[in-house]
Amino acid sequence: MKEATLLKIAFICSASGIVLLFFLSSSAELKPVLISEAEKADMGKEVKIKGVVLSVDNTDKLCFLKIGQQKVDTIEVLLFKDHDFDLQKGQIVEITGEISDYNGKREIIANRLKVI
Amino acid sequence: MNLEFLCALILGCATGIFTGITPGVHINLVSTILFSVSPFLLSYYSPLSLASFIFSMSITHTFIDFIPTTFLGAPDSENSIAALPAHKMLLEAKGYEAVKLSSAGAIICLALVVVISPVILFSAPIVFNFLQDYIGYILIVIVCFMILRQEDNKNRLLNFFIFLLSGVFGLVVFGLPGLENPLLPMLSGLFGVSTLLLSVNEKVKVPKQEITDTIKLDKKTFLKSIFAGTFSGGIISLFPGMGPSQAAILGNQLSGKIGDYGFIILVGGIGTVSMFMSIITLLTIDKARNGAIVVLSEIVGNFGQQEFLLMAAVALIAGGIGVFLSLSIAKTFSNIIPKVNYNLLCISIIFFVTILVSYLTGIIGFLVLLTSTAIGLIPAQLNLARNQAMGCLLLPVILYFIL
Repeated sequence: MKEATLLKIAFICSASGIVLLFFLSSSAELKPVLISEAEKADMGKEVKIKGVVLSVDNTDKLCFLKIGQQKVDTIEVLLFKDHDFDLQKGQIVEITGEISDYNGKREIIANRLKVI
Repeated sequence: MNLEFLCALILGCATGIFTGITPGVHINLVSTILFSVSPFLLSYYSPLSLASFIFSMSITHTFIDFIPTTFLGAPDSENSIAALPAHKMLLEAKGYEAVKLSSAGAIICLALVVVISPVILFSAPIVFNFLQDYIGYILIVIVCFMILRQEDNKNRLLNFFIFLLSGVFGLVVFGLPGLENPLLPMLSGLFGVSTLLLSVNEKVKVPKQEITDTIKLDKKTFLKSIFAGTFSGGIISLFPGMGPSQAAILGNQLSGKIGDYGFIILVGGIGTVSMFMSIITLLTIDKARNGAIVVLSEIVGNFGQQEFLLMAAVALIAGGIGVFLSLSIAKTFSNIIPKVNYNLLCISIIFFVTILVSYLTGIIGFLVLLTSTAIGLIPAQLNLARNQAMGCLLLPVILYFIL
């Protein structure tokens, strides 16, 4: 293959990539962020949040809203298996167990697990 | 798309030059370092910018890494199987053309895989679920075919011996405790250091390199190499433990007689396709097939369609830049290498690789390097092709799938 042909193909690929980037940036949909992340964002930056309307205060030309979000917290849970079971990501479970400490972090050593 | 994203892309391409040129330095190493400082970086830069850096570095690397394979006889694990034909072309004063063939394979296969990616996105989970139970047996058939196609029983026996020896060696190496990066010393010795030692022994004198467009491949061979490279690079990426080297063996069998030039196009294409397929497997079957993409997925978090399209754009841009860079750097190497004392250069690279392997993998890695070098010298002494030495990866993978 001639070098000139190869460079033309390379140029076409790069140009296609740039065009694709342009279209993606103009059609890009903002992903919703947590309120805590929105509060840390730079002034003037566009953000999207999702939440529950906690209060509404209307005037003639303005509407003041208070939006609340459910906070997501995580904790490690340790289960000693006495039989095989299949847990998948996304399942909702109820866990009963003892609070323990591992390497300075709290965790629960579960003694009961219920899939809801 | 903002300036930060584009700057990260350009910086990634620049870093890809460094990782591609330097034997033993891999994108996984840089990505791991990046991940360790990502909490600090993410307070200044967006996750997508960091992802753009990692992926553009990875794609550029696949274009540049053929240069040390050709000019220094120091391949990385992805194109170790192409070290011999590339080295042969260097000695025919066609080192630059070897790099050009590899780049041609890389950019055309990349363009092809991006164009057909909607089909791959749909079919990857289906193919993966169907094939994963049979991949061990498919590999056995391929190995048997590669051995049985030899001219006579003596060659078949010798090829089988090389396959078995390297296969058992591979099993031992993967089972060694405390060896975190087994591929580096194993493949460096089998395909890199052994090639360099042979060059030193034969007192190879690299002729003045020609910057030419003399190599003409017929359309049929060219297309066979491209489609085989795209197909085998794509299929292999679905399975754990399978890499560009196994894909090259599979692709070579599928494409039939394509000669050394076609083989280099095939290997060039496989490396880049495998890298692009990593983001497809991440999106479709939630499996990141190499360290750099693991880091990318950790940094981005939720890797969805939007992120995939952004990375596809990054791949196309970085691929175009990669062609330009690889040809420019290859021209520089073509001018410099013949002026250098090649024997001294080979010895320096052997020392460099040895020190790097020892530093990264310790005394165990050093011993693996010594052993793999010894095994890598055997095919040359027996006048055999070295591809059976890929048994070091194939046999463990076959046993993984079957047992």
